[in-house]
Amino acid sequence: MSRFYLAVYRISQGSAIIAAAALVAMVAFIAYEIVLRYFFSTSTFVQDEFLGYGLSVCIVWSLGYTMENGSMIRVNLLSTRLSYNQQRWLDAIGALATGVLVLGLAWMFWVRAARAYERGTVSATSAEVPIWIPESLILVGLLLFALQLVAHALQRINDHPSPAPGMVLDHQEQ
Amino acid sequence: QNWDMSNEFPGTSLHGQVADFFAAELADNSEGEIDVTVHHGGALGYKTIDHFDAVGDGAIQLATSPFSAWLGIDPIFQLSALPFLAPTTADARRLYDLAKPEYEKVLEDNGQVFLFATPWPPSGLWGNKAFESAADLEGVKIRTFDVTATELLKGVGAFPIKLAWSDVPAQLSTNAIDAVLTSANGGVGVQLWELQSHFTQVNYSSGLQAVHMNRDTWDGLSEAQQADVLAAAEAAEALGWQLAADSIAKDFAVMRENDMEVVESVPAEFTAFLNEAASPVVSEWAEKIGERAERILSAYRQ
Amino acid sequence: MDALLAAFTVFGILIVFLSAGLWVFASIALVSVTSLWLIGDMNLARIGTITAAIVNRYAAAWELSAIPMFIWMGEIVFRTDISMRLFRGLSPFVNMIPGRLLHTNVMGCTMFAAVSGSSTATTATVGKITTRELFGRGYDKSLAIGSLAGAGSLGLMIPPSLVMIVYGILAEESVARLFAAGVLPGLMISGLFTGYIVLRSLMNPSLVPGERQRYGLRDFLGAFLDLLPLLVLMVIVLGSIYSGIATPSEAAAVGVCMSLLIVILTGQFSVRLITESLMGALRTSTMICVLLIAAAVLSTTMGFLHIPADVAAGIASLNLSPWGLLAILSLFYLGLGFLLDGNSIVVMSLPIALPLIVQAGFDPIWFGVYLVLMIEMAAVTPPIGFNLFVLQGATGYPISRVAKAAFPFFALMVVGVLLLAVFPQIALWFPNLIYGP
Ligand code: NA
Ligand code: NA
Repeated sequence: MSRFYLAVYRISQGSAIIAAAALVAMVAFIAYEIVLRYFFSTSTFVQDEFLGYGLSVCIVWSLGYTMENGSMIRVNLLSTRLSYNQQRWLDAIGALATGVLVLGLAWMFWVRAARAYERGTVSATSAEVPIWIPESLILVGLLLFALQLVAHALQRINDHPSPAPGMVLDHQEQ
Repeated sequence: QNWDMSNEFPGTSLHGQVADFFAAELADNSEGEIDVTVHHGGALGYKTIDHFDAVGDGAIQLATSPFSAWLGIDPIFQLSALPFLAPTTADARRLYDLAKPEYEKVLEDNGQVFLFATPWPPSGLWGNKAFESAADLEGVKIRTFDVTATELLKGVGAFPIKLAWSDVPAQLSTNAIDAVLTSANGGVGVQLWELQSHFTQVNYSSGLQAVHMNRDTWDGLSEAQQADVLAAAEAAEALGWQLAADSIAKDFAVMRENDMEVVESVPAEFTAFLNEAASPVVSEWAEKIGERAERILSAYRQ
Repeated sequence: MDALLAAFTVFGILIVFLSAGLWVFASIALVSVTSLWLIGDMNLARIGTITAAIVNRYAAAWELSAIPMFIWMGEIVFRTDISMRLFRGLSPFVNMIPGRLLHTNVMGCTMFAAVSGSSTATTATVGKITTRELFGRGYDKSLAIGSLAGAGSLGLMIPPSLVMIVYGILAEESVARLFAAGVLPGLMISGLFTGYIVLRSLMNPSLVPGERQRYGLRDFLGAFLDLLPLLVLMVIVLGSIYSGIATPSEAAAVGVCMSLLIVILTGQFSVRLITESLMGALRTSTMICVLLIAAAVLSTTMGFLHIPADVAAGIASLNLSPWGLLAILSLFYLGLGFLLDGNSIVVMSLPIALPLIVQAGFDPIWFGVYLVLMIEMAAVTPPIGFNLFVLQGATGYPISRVAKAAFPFFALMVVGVLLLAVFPQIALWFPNLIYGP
């Protein structure tokens, strides 16, 4: 199973690198827009739209990486009073429940993207971006997150350490 | 029955008032059987562009939405926003009556019922000078709201800039833009007179805003209830067109009270110049739509 | 269902999910789905459609794009000697003030608030820079965390402010006036926090490490040079907004570009700096943005359950005196503040609250400032308080400890609300001076 856990984590890392590239692209896009507006009195006319697409990749594609590195916060009111094994199982159940939620959401995005494709919906700007593209990007990001959630649950069930270097388990934090 | 209706704009806006009136009429007509809660100001989290599928899928039963958000779904929705095609509210009404069957059809194909549409007051130019000739537009940085307006303004030598509405006051106060293309009503709503001295009524266009309803909800109504809905829609539609027509004079008065110069009509020469600049935009749109557009436009031009 | 009962049910379900140790974002999303299903009586298909539309709306909202960029800027500053210089440079200046470097949080947030329009970006960015240094130097952790949680929310009060823009559009009030009205109350809150830190440090000197020393003119000169990089960064970011070169939401990108330029000019640029700062920014901003998206889903849920509107309508039916109305509304907003984030509170309650307030004779510009202060308080109250979450993420302390540290600053904001209610001129004097009454 170690190989599976590591492979899934590498995928999460890879998609986080794409998310980071999206963040860099957002900064570059704004810089370009400012230069256009200030020196050439014109505009890309699509800044809001593309910043939106950039942000969605930036967030959704780094969900798995953020979660596996322990950066998603919890409140821990009850769980700190439980034994290590009880915590492990509660954590696994939580990850699976979240996974179900994320998969359900991914299904809805599949429905949305398929409809946008069929209908030929484009964005109402000069770019006329086919809407199924950005919605599919969110869909893929959600699927990758669901995969990492399943791997996370299995790791906790099998009491296997996380492949993420920064991962600190909750009970060690206290 | 309890229905939810989404509106992206404030309840005090023209279309917010129309939506509230529609809800009240419907409650009256149905003797309280149908209770519509209007969520103004985007309180349900939806933007106008989301309304199309939210209503089609039955997430909400009703919404009030400007057509301008739906251009990417079907370009027919651009008709009412085409530049200088329907300069007065009366023209806009005639164009709307001709195009209504097309609007109904697109919504019907997507699981919803078109109830009625009401106009936005015609848009004009806010600025620090009057715009009365082609030369007045030369090099002016103008905030625009859609692709067509951007193309048109580029064509006449102005510098169109697309900005979020919320950024407009700040960008005006720092002179990053010089002028704003919007209705008298839109500018009055955010006290644009604090930042601009003139309004020129060029009658760019009067966009439409529709109230639409989920088809399953509609089909689930008794015949009497359907009649109640239609009666409320008819009354609200009449009110909306009246409000838009009245708002023009009212807003001009408010602007003058705040020391603004209002130019109510522009020289015929300038109108001709703008119409000429707009005509390729209109024909390009008609080509994209094909036969549907030709039919409406030729009927309208007669 | 009765609105209050529904509200308590939502609250109860949320507490259950949170206590079970589920991630906060998942808890908020699950409570929304459960509430729509149980209380709203909706089927899964309809819930799915609603949720996906809201997630799509907020995940691709350009308005939020400034958050990851500001956080990236904070990461760059944090990973270079700019932040260390900030502390070295401030030391001589704050040396005579009881509490010394503890004031960097309040000062830093007040200055950064003038650049950023959101309180989460302010807390996260300043927190990234200050917490490590303050902890390392032995300053009292509770006071450090609490002042950060409190002062971070100044991001909304001191212009530019996202919530004020939303309020201005909905209330049809001038955003420029609202911005002007926020300046003095923002400085007042900042002053209250500073005064509190001074007082606490005087009463209990052990909160501050004993590193007091004498500084000469030379030290002040050196200190000024140390502060220069950050001052340049601030002047350029602020300058880009007030000269109109960048919109407030674009200023974040200007900040990133300038901090990179400073890093290159001071010879600290490396590929490692870029990758580490990027990945760090990604972890923090994803955590925050996914919370914001989940909160948007919850706020839509509350809208569908008609909770805020019904409660506000209930208040309207009480026919209270102006002061009674204000008191009840404050409690109402405090209650909403436990569960909702700022924008949602404004959007959902305003249509009913604003007419009441105007009718009772209060000034709508003043009410905008008052509302922002209520929202700032919401950001530091558990279980859903964004500044608490940000600091929990930054320090690794449990939320109960963060909330406890923030409590005195919450109380100071209550004092601020009272002052604002008794002396409305605190908000109205400045806009009236600039724009006329
Ligand atoms: Na701010
Ligand atoms: Na809170």
